[in-house]
Amino acid sequence: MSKISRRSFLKLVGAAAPAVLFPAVTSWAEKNLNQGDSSKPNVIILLLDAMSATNLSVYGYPRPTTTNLERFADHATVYHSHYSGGNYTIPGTASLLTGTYPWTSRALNYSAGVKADLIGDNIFGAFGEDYHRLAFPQSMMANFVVSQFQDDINTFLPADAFGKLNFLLNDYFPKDRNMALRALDDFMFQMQAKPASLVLGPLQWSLYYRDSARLATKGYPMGLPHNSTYPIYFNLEDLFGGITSLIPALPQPFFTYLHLYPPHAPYRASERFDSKFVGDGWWPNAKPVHRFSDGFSETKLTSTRRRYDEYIASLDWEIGKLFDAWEAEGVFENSYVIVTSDHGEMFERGEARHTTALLYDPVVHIPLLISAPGQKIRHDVHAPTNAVDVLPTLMQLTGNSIPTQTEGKLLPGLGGVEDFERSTFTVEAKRNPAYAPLTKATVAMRKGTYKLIYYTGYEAQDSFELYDLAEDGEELRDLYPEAPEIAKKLREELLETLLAADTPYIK
Amino acid sequence: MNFVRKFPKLEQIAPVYAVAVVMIYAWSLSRFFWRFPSWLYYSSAGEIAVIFAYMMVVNLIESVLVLLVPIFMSVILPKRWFYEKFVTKGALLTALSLGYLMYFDNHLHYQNPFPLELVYRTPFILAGILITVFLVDWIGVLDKILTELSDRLIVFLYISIPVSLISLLVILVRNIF
Repeated sequence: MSKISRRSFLKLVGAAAPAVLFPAVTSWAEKNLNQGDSSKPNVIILLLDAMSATNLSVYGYPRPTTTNLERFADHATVYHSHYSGGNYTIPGTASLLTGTYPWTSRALNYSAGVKADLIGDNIFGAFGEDYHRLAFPQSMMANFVVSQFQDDINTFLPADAFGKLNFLLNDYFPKDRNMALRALDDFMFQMQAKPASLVLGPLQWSLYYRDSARLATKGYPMGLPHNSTYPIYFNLEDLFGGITSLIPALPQPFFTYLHLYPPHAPYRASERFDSKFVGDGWWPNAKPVHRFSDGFSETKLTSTRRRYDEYIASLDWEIGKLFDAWEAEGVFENSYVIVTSDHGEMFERGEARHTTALLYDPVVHIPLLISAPGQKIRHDVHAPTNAVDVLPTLMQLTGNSIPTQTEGKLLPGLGGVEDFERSTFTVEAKRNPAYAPLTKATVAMRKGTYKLIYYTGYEAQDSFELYDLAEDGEELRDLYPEAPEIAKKLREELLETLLAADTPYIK
Repeated sequence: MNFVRKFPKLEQIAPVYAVAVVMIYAWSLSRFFWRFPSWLYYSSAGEIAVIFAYMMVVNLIESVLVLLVPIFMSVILPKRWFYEKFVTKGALLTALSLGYLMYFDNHLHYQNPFPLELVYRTPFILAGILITVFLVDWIGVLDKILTELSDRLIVFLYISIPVSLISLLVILVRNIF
């Protein structure tokens, strides 16, 4: 699988670091490794977990959360109506990496992956042997999906590669990473519930507690960023420092998938941005509490949203430094640089974060900014697009064949054209068996300016909501009872598409 | 060597090991069946079997590590203190220690603070366990019960050891080839 071991790769990164710090110095890594086919563009996907487009100033959010992404947008294509395939990491990541909706990949449940016959059709495999393919799934949920594709990945950086602690056991099983992750990190030594290992489990917990308590939290008033359910601590400086050094050291052409955990909860802004938005005078519109919400108070939601915004601003600061370094290295001249997310985050209607049956825009409207090699001007796309579009687009751009199973289309401006009548879908079915028809799920369909949301299996009767996002971007006025003709047309399309997806599983 | 003479015989080790095996494997199996319905949602039978194999290997390592404690005590302590009652004292030490670990594990959850007070109490609890272990000489009936019970648990070794060894082979094959 891995042509470069983790240890030798990290050495290589270390060797390349001087080139970043002192651009005049030609590093050892550049001399020895960057000798591939330079006619093909490099591709870098920088995925920021749980980053909602709603909370980004680059998409018009009132708080200045992403001033550096705004700079990046000046030489990128900005997709304004881009949607995730799901509302949490597993389906969101699977949609991006397989070009299929969750009801096709069946990556629906916690700790799950894509179905067996799709594993071979992943984005890493599609890039082919010409590309050096690197994956860094810092999010553990992303690991469940990405580790399934390890046979097509040249360099697999483990989730704790640039972290402060090393307690993940799947690192020690590079040939069987996916199953070791599921059996050891997610079961025997799990932290979501009591460990299944009676003796070594509590020993690991105790060592983890001891080491994490000793970590210096300087620069992070709320404590270091960490993964809430797996033993990973990190700080943004080290994380982005590692990534900065990573790229110039890679053999070209390369495809890198960097799935970073921030700004996922817990929100740990750096000192520079902690409390930055306290008393800034901006308040989101209060929205009615949804019957499926957990009933968080408006006060709690407002303060949580502020912390999220501050964490995004901290992240954006590091992204700015990263892009400046890449600019100096000339990375943008021969690379497609893609900034996106796997799902959003919501702080409204009594619901916080994304573990929800709700599919309102804050939790499914995600950023997508793509800078093409040498691009100098901004381009804006407003037609609906989806995470499933990224794979076919990248294959087209790099001269590779598009896997036949993909449900995505070429992104407008990068081979495709703006199609406002196209339907895109987001699927939530984490409590539904993966290989059975979707009887407990939420499906959102975006078509034109309309968005139809379908809830099934949560109540005695299925229900729909319909919004016109051009007129009502906050999704406050449900048109479903008011516009029966439009509702009927969209409902029929959604139900037909769902039925087609379910057909292989109907006995 | 004095140490070698105090090393327990296989027939002494087996019942003590059986106590460790029953408690360690039962704990993991209970967690396994608790997670089983969710795995059925999205996993194949083969994947669940591999998770089971990893579990068995971890359990094998744990049970051997736990067994080393009474063996170590037998070797380093005077013969009369531990070796002569290895089965009784070893089984009691293993059962009480693993029982405490079960209690400890029940307090571990990422949404709760780490149970630091339990860690602070651990030396006292271990001291209590050791005192109980050495007092067992004075409770004849307990001695008999422990010997009989641990002897009956040996039957589980006929299942756990072969399955664990097969699991070990599976894991080795998956990680070598």
